[in-house]
Amino acid sequence: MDAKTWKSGVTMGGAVLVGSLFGFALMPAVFAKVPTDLERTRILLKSVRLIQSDKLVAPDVVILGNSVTMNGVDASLVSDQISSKPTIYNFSSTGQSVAESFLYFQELVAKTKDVVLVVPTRNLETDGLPPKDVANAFYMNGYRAKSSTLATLESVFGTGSEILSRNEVSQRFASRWVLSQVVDTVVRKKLRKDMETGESIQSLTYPAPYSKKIGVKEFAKLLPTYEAKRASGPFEPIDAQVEIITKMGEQLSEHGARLWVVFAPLNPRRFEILGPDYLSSTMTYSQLYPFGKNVKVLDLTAFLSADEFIDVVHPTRIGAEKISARIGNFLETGT
Amino acid sequence: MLFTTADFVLFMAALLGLFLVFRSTGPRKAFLLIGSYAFYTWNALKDLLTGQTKFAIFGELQNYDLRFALLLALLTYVNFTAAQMIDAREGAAKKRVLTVTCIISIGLLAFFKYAAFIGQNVSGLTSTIGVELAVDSLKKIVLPVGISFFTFHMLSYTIDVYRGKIKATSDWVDFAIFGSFFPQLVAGPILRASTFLPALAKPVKLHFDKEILFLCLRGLFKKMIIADNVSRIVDTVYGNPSQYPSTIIWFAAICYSVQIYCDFSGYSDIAIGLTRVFGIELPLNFDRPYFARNPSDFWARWHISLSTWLRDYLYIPLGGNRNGEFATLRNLMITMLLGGLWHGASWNFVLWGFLHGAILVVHRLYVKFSGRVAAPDQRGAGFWLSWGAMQYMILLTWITFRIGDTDKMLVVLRKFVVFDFNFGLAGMGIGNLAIFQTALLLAGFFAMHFLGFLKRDRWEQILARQSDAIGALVCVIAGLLLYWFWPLGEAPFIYFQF
Repeated sequence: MDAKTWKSGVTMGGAVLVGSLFGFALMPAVFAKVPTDLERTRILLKSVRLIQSDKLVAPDVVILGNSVTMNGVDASLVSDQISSKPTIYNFSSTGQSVAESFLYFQELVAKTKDVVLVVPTRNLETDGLPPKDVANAFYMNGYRAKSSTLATLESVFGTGSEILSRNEVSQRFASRWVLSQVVDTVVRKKLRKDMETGESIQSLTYPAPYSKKIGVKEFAKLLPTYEAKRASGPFEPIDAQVEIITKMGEQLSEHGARLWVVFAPLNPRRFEILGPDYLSSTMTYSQLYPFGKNVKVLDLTAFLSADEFIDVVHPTRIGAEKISARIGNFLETGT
Repeated sequence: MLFTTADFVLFMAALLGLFLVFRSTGPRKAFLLIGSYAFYTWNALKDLLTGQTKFAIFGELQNYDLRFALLLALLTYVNFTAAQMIDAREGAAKKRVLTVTCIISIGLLAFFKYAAFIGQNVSGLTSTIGVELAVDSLKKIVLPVGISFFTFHMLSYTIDVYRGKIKATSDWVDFAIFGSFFPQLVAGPILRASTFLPALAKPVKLHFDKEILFLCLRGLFKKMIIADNVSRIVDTVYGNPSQYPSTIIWFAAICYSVQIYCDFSGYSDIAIGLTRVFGIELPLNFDRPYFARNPSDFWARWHISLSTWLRDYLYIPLGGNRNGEFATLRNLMITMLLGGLWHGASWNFVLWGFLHGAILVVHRLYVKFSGRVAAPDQRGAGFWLSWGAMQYMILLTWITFRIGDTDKMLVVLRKFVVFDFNFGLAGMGIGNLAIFQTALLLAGFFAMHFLGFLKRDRWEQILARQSDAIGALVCVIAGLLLYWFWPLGEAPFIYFQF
């Protein structure tokens, strides 16, 4: 082999390797900068750290939930309904599953008095562990799961908690998912006129991302996609979801605090698909103390009218005001 | 073993290490042969060595099975011996040996690839007259990876010896390397003994230069950054096509045409680059196929090693264009139907072959009756019109190639041909498909494809001429991009299934 061409070829091969190592080394910085659908995770975990280090006022009440809670609960309005005017933070985020709520809960349980978990009943029938991307976003945003958190997830959901406990190299490699959606996230931010993707999603009070009502045609198209895989019939939560909420209730009880579970409002149009038994079964279920005696349940499944939804799942501002007032009242009176 | 895995990097490092230690040709050829068989059976070997499976000579076949190495060795032995016998015989005796070799080679290919398909269809036919055939056991037959490729290239050797184009080799090691040469073993390009064996007869020397590296990088870039990233849309849309309007169906069709090109030509680039490392030059397998203006032009640019194989060993023996217009059209159609079937034992591949056959027939008739033949350097409206028509047909035929499920294929074809002008894309979950990122990748691909079409030199040649500093910068960027966009899951090359 000719020494010169060999040397040149090997130099170039080495340059490819250097490029790959650059990619690996730069990944945490890239992850922190590029826009993603899970940007709020970064904000929430930063807030958690500030609360833990007493740099941010510790909350009296933490509200957890998904985008329905983001759009449907204004923490300041909830606080207004309570005579002591407690500090309330809305820690909800897009697609937040109960298991993901549990991760925030574990970090905040020692710093808060009460926790409100707003959960659509449909999520209790389907959700499991947070998806890999979410788990990776937690890790890349500085979250390190406690062994007790992992043990609880393992005992409730079986296998799967390993996605939170992978090593640094593996997490950095997995974090490349963020690059596969960066262009779409940027374009969506420009195009989606119905979505607020700016400052408001950073809010710990009312991070409502949806601001414009969708059209009738679009609604008709979207509606069936939400219940595509479910036949009509009564509400049937899965055991793991019930168990993890029960454990949250028990843990809060040990601190002398309480878990409040709110079944989020469902758009009445969805009952056309879910069937008449669904509503009655959620009501019955909520009255049976399904998560233990210390956990109070408020069923708001049929609380709003169809007009009070911006789209198939998210409440309007008027809907949010109603829900917030009702939750405030629930925390004040216990009923 | 996949080119895109860490296993392969270690395999190449070990092989090159042995080559550097052992400088003489004998041991190097032995390592090349052993390495090729190790490459072919790697997954099975790994499972065996790590105790995940136990070897059983009569056990059920697995997707990756050590016993497939015996099949490869058997075909090698049969063709090697047959060629020597042919060389030593004359007249009818020669023909008898060739016939028996063809029966054995194609018989093995037919058994592994088509037995279940034939059984299923025969059973379907007989059941209509009330006769039920038990064909379930045929479904257990597993397709050995790369069988279509190595059967074809070994058979071409035997036929070439029969035709007197080449002499039979007496060096069984050379022939065994030809039969199992790892860079192209499982997905081509299909080798020709007339170019490969003479190169192997020379001392085996290592070559490594910038051009080889850029060629391999180009292949990796096509496969890992383009093909594997646009495939997400194809899989999702074709998985449930009734959910999507024509806009998305068209987008998915374009994505698939880019995916299959980047996947397959990416593999070919790497295979050609790796082959050059061992001092052997393989011919071009793709030549900017999406700038084809008619079906003949397309087949002169797409999977060239297969189209020339079919031309030399099927179309011409059938009579080619020597027996009048009808026979020519018939031969074209037979060649394309069998070419389609070569890809897989499924009706959608037959349909794909039929459509290409039909396009070739129509084009030939058009040229004959109109007397219009496109000049090679023609540009302007005529160029773009014929280009547009040909690309439309290519996109349409790729749909039949990709979708085996007839119902889904028909839905996609209907929405592709009869455009529904539905541009309302909300609520289809396309937000999860990274559609804009994919569009950006497609734009990048077409820009590169177009620039490549305008320049006669290939990218690796252009880059290799640059200074080392520029070359190194390109390599750093390539390494960075490959790391960042390397697919999270393992994505085998599409042509592995053939």
